[in-house]
Amino acid sequence: MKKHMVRYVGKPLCLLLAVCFLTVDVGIRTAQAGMISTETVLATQADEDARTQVSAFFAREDVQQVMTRQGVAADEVASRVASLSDAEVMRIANELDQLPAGASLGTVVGAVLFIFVVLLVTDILGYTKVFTFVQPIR
Amino acid sequence: MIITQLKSAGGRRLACAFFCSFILIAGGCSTYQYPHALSPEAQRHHLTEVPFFAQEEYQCGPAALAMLLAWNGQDVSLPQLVEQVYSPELKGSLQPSIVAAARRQGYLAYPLSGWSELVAELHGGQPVMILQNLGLSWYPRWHYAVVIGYDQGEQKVLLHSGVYPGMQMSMGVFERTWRRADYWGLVVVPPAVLPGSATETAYLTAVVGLERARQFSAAATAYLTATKAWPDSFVAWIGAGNSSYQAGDTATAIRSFRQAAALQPDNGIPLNNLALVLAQAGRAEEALTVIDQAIAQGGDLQEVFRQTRQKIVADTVPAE
Repeated sequence: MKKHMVRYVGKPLCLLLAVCFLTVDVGIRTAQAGMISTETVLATQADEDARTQVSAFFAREDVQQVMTRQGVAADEVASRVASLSDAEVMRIANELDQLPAGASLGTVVGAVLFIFVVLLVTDILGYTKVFTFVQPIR
Repeated sequence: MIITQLKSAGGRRLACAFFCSFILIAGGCSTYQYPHALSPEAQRHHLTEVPFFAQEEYQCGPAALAMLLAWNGQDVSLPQLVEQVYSPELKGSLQPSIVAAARRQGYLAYPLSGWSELVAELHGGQPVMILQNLGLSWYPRWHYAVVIGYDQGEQKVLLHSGVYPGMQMSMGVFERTWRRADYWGLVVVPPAVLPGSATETAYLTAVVGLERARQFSAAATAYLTATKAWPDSFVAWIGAGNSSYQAGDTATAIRSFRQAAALQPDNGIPLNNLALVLAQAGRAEEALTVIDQAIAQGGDLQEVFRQTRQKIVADTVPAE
């Protein structure tokens, strides 16, 4: 049953997500001589801050417990975050910002599920190989 | 109680309706801030000298902006602001056009969203423009007003609102009407003044807006204001360099890029910009030394640095 689902839903879904990603990621950095704008520098710093925030989140003990329960090794997650694009990390960081301070485990599980979805997509694109049921597109 | 307050706010005739879809979408899930966001001991503050501009029908946006500008010493022409801010077909003013109008006068528009920032601004001596929905979520009556004070003991917020200077509103009503507008607030300050609630990234984002509005000398001042508050801010020094250069202040630009380069020695960006300023100032030899340093750093932008070098070489007229 599950296998059939993956076969019939998986491929069109992969294609759809791939198209979405390719259209989003086009032409972010073009080489051009000239002054590098403050806006660019600020955006770069914001990306780095988001990355630090997401890594710090995964280093938290309660989060690691959840991941262990899901069967994900802690040191593996660090490398997964490293392989996410700036936009993806930003999305996760934004999601983490929504968590109230001192969030209960319930909300944390929600965020981890969000990561699950992100990793699913990166698997599909062949950046990661986390889930056995995903066929990479390349 | 809400109904009596609405009447005192000017009721239907003066209610300042306007259209802003993202607020309608975003307003759904915020939690009540009052009274948790305030300090437990009763405090109060009142900026008694904030000038008052009575609004014309539907024109609460320009009137509120005029009050903030006049408080900060700007010569204000209300008709001119109405022209820049007010949209007749919407019978109201959109927030981005208010922000843009403040920037056009060379002022920094710094957004805030919540009680703790509101109180910090008042204690720092800045009145705060806020957006309220005086109606209900499904029957909105949008209105801009200026908060000039608050009194926790009396449970009051003091507002310049509509045609009523120094209007008192209970904190509970204010909380509910403000919350329906997602706690949107704005201070408008001269570029040499740091808002009381400013944080580094939010402030720099606001200054980038000023730079984008091509107010280069105001932006340069604001970035330098940021470097006083956060001397280790790489972005602030880069911004000070870029804006000073655009404003024609080569000496400050060079000094700022050197500061940025000292903060991040492995980063080629300040060197790239510094080289261009030096070349522009006719110091081509120094410029080439600097850009070669940037190219030696490598990284993602190495190709950009190479092209900068070519540009410098091409622009340099060989000495006869």
